Amino acid sequence: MSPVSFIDEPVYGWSAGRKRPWLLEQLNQLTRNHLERCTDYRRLMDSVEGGRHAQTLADLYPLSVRLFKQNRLLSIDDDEVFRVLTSSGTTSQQVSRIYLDRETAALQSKALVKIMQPWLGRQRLPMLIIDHPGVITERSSFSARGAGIQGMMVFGRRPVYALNADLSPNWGAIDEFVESHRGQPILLFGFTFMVWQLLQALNEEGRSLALHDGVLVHSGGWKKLQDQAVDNATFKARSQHLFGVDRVHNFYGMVEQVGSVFVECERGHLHTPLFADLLIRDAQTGNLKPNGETGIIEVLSVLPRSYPGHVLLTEDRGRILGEDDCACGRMGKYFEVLGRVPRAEVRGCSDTVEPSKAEEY
Amino acid sequence: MKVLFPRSLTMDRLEAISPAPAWRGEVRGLLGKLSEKLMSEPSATLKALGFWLRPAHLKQMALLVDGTRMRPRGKVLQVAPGNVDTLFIYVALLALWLGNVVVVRLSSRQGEDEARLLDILHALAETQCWSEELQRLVLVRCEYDDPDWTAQMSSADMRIFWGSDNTIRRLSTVPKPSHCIDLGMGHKHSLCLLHAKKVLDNKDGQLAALFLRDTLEFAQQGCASPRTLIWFGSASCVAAAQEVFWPAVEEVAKDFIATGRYQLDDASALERLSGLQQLALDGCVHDPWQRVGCLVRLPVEELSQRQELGHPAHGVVYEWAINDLSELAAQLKPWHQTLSYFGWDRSELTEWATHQAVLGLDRIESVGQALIFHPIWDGLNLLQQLGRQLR
Repeated sequence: MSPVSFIDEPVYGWSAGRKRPWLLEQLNQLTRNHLERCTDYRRLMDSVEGGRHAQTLADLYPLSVRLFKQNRLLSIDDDEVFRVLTSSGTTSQQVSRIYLDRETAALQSKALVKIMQPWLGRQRLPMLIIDHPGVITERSSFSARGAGIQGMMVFGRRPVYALNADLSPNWGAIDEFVESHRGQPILLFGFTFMVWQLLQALNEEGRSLALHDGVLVHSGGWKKLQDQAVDNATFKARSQHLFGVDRVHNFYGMVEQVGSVFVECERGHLHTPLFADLLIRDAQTGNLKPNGETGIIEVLSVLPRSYPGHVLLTEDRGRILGEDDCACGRMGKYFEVLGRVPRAEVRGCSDTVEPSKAEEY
Repeated sequence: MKVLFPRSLTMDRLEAISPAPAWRGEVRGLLGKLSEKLMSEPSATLKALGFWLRPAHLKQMALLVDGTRMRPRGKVLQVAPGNVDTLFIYVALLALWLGNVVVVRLSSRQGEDEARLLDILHALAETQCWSEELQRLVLVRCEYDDPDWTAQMSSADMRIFWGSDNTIRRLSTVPKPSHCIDLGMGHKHSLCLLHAKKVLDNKDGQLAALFLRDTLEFAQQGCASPRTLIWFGSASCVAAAQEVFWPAVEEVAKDFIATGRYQLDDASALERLSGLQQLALDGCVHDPWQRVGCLVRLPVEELSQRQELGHPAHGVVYEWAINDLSELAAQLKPWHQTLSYFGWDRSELTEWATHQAVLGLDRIESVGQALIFHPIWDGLNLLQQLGRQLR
């Protein structure tokens, strides 16, 4: 693999003309590596015409994210496995399993730092985690949520958990945190639905927090919020009002491509960092959709080295709003996510089985 | 346990419902009335049910058994499948006709046709002359571990389970009286056999539409929908027939889509894609990208269980070519249910199948008829099974 010098390049500084050929070369190289080292991937790609060497980003053949639930897909030897990330999806009870070696895990952490620095600064901020401490200590629940929190902890210091194990607010901890960091820049982080629950609790108690120099970063599915008709604007306004923070950044990311996350800018647009890109496809034909049209999100990332997850077709809907011309001044594509593809009716003869009580994260 | 039909039925009253004599004229009248109502419904599925219930067809079906000394089983429980949301009613109405008390657990997902059917049943139940007969039909929705449901399962005289093999295995473990019999309608894979030369000679232009009716009517979810297409003939003849057949199918498919008879939603398309990728990853098929309009053709070399269990539905058709029917016979397994055909007389194929010492194939139907329910299903004469025969 080529040296990873790109990690020091500006995350939002390359225009399409420069980024595309570089990204294509990186991803083609990853395809070659995975073909060489992952038998399952090779068998699949053998059946795809022209899958081995793409001429354009659109020619790269995306793997369905669901394959990571049904198969053990890895391009490393078993003794090189350093960490296994798991997630539960909403479409089945099976969880995705993502196999990391030290190199990929380190690359993910470095990339995440590079991506978040422009938003959070270089200094580690006092951090309020909107979750309970068990989410990362309980080994059994160390899933996407735990991994996400642990990934974000490098940006904070002296983390405080805002919730009790039963997910009720730990008012004592929250008040103490607010008190001891009054007037200082702080970082709030949590999964979108958890944050919303805390906002609801504050609202019910008629309370608000004075975290004026704070920045709230949140991520995770919107499904539960959409069910309650809460959109991003409402979420943002409520956060600013009740937490007192002036900056709120959502980000889009997934356990299958940890590290290359898409952060929401001041204009409310999600941005592709240098290490990643995004395409929108038509679910039925697989053809690319032009900017502005809604379709299925395909994510590209140069980080996955230990597993063939560099080109993935998600089950999320979204649309690209533009490239290199967001009013915020950042280069790269910017887009919005429009939720998950409505769950297909599970049919066929197995259907008398009850639907799984799908979990959001 | 939520009772959906009849309205306001309590558990005590459910226990008190008793069977009636078989073949009552009143039930036949009820079925005729239901037939009339269904025939005027816009849904093709409900119309088909109405057509199936027409008096002439009931008369024909009655000939399938020696009905003179038949009596009801008692309480017949049915766990309905979710793939074809009106399939349960065929068996339920036959059971009712035989005088049984029928309790059906509907699938957790309600389809449009099922909802409409419930409306029609409710309307009929409000009419004095049908309410008594309809009392013996009880439709519920519940979790499997609901105590009321478990009580029903344990007191049934006959239980019919539609579902995956796992579901059937699990349901069968619920205790039952020793005289109670269980019928398991498990996972099936169906085939379509086309005579290549006859396809080439065929001039009426209906074949594509008939094939698509079988394939797409329930989005290929019904067990009887063909998932493997078998071409019969020499390699050159098959290739020539494919050249004619597939463009015609694609043309008719456009019409199916335009008129809303078939729709592949995004979730199904993604499910199909991941299914195709999984098949490629398992080495079962080649070239998993989606190609022929709303259908995906996948050449295969044999019938294999792995390939069949991995079938993604949603318009995927395995295509296999044979030169001789013995090649097919050699590969038939108990889960091969329907063989729809074109280019033979039905009697030729039933004669052939009768003399094969294999467990597979329970139905041989002309192409276009695969989804039409018949009281002889999965190798069982249901009319016979739903009653007790007095010696």
